[in-house]
Amino acid sequence: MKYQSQSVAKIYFIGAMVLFAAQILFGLIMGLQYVIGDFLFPLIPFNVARMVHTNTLIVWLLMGFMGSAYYLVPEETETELYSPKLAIAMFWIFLLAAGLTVVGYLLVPYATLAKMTGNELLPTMGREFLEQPTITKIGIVVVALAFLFNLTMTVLKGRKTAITLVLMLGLWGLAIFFLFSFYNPDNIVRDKFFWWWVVHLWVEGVWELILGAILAFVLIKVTGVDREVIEKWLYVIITLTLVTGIIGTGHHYFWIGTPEYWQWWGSIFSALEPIPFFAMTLFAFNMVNRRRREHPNKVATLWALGTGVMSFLGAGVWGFLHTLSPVNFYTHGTQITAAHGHMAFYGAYVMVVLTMISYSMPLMRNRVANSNFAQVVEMWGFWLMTVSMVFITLFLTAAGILQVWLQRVAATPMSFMDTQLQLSLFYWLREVSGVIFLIGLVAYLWSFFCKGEAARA
Amino acid sequence: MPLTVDDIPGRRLAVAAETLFLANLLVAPGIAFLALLWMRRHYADAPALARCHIDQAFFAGLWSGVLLLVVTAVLLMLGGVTWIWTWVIVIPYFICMHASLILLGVLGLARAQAGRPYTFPLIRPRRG
Repeated sequence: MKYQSQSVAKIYFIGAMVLFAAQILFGLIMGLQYVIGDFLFPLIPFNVARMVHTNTLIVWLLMGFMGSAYYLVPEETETELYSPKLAIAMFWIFLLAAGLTVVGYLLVPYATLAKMTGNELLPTMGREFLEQPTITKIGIVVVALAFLFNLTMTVLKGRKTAITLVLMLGLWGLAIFFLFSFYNPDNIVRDKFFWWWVVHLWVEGVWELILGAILAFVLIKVTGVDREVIEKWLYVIITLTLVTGIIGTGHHYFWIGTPEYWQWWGSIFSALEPIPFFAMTLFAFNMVNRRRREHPNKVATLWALGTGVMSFLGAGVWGFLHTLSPVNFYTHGTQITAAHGHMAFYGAYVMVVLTMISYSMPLMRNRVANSNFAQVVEMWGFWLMTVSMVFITLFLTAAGILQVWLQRVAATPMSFMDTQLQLSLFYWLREVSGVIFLIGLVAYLWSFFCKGEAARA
Repeated sequence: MPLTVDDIPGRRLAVAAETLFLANLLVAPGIAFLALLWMRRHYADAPALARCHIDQAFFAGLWSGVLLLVVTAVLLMLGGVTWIWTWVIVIPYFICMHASLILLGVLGLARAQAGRPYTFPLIRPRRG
């Protein structure tokens, strides 16, 4: 670690890991509720488990991005962070807000939570993924602004690199598009239209810039390939991302009441969205093949390559699968969407945060790389989580195909709930895969506590 | 000894071969494979790196046809298109196989760009 202030990333990563574990536990609870409907009812109803599962994911990924930025920016700008104290204070505020929100979800009915938090003053609650009370959303904005102020001031006083510029563009975009969560019009078409400006333009827009920047940073470090080469790739990738992803938002506008031209715009541009992920995979393997050094942190390189492959599969291939409007006519809102969502989030964003943690945590603990034993344990975590996620995706895809047939294609279509009953075999298989994912997560977390001499190149 | 990666003999042809393999899977099925076939005949005396990638891409292209078209057609014939379980099997099979072949092609292209030889796993003809 070159700069003392980079160490603020550590608490962000620890907080992210705790929330990651919570996310997986609630995912397993919810997965079981798909097949045993009254499991833990009324203690944890399905809608609450789902809300905790998705909201903890978003919050821990944001924490992971923040931690990654706090580690990356001082090193790239070659200067200490503008205010490490502000970064630490914001972490605790963020964690407290996230914790109180989850406790609120679990302890009181959602409508009561809305009343308790004064939602009627500025109604923003009740929308998928943006369920957080308005006061929590305001807290997120405050934390994000303080975070961006801190980083921007650091960048302004230090060296400017393509990686920091792309990262900052992504982070500012993240904050700006979140502001649309406060816009909650009565017209449901308009509501959905701008709701996607948060959801889609995050995950298929600005988050990809953050992903590209983090991946580029780690690849420079572990491969020793010239910065100029990596930065050229980064420019190409972010251009492809923005060209395809922004108008690609149209694939969410097929069936919400928007004009018909979105069928074409959405289909064409989102069909091109796998290209940046394809380029990212090629980029990662290209850099590793052209490496100039053998970095002792083998597992960080594995995570970096895994990010390329799994993001291409999850976001690229599984996204393309149901993105053309004639296909999406049958598949929207089915388990095929869930299959895509699981693998895309894991492959792109979970894995890139874990790549950064894997690279930087040993350095923040005063060693270049963990012991060989710790790395082997972490690799077990990598493979168990990744392979089980592939199976989760495959089982959900199979469930989705069956669902489309029974519910939307068959001559005598079944109702939604009758169809769900027919899918239970795949839901059970998904749950078993989820348990294996949890075992992988335990192995991953255990690797932080494994002792031994630091590995050498 | 070459000075840079660009100077490695046969690198450009190697990259072209792997690109055609990917194009055959992605944008120009059949046409790109014919170009690969032409390349294999025309560049019989190319440097070793190029020969390696051209041969690998060509045979992997042949296998791709078998795995994607023949096996899929057999599965459809065996199950019939009106039986739901045919689609539950065929669609994930096709996606997984297609995506796997693309990823193998990406690995091949990355190796070609780095001026290194490449052997497709499982579907390879062994390098001499």
